[in-house]
Amino acid sequence: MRKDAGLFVALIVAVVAAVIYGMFDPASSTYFPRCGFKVLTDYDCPGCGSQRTLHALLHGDISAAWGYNAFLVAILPLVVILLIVEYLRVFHPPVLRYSSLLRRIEHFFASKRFAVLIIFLALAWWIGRNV
Amino acid sequence: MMKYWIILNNTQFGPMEAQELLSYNPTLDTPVWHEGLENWVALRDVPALRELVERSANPTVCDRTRQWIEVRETEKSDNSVTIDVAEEETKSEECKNPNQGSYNPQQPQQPLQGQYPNYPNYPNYGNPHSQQGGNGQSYVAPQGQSNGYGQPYGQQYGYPYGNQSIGNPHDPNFYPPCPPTYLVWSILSIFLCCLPLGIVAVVYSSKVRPAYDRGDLSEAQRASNTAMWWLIAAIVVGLVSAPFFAVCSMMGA
Repeated sequence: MRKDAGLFVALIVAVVAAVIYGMFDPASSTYFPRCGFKVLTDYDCPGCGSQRTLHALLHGDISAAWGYNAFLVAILPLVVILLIVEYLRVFHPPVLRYSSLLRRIEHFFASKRFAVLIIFLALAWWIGRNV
Repeated sequence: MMKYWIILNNTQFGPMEAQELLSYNPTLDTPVWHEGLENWVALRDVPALRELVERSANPTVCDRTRQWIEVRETEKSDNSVTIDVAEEETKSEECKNPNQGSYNPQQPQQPLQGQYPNYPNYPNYGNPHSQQGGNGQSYVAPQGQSNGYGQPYGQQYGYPYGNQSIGNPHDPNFYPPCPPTYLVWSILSIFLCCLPLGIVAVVYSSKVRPAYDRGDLSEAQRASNTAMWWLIAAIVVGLVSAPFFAVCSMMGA
């Protein structure tokens, strides 16, 4: 298996998802997947609203996207940076090794502190949005 | 933890811990020194290290090494990579002058050069604790102490394109890359499919790099694989359950 197979699959999934979520509105269509947690408990999970958020973002409507899932919109820049670092790690490892800024960024993202922060924020968002 | 020094290819490395020492692929004949020893001794005469080295001589280590060689050979042919040469040069300057700048040995200084008899058949490296570094020329700055990142990032491991370093297990440049952490994908899986499984994946993702930085490659690999399987589980459960619940909610509505 090629070392970049995972990223290649992710790219295809992202393009297909962008086309689907750009063309159809999950808020009005019944053919989109539902969150099990929401169906069972009637509470929002941290990811609820992600599909509508994607649709709104693809149409450039940031305020609507913020209303559907503010947390996803807030961490989107972070996700983009993480994806760039991941891309560099797989395809151009020497760049990460020789650029001290990138190395520092990558090292922070790989640390336990960062994971704890993400999990804490996700749980806080989960509770906060249902209060 | 006990700190060890070793000599490989006429170069002295240390101080480092036992796990870290393994990454140099020492043999049972490699000269080793630690505090309390009078002479450099062969590795086979240090029971703790001998056990570690013998235990690490298993197929998985060989497999990983082979993978690493493959990866490096593809990288070698990759000319599009830009390398910050200026930074590289500054760093190697630092390495050549261990007495300047950030070199801070953890042990108290003992200017006892020449007190320890030399290991037979090896040139004079002096006392590893001496800041003068024995005869000066062959002294190498302690690995990973000249920058704040621990040895996997150090210039010392550099980027050896030369053929002689590939396949030579005694080369200090021979250091496998960190296994993937899958962190981005785990974070995305929290939001895009299945919350609890994604959180477990994030937890294991965060264990990869700290283990790697400790020099514990097998633990890093294990955490990486565990994170990958939780991630796959999150995606599969998400893909299977989401349409199921969509049908449920349509029937309920």
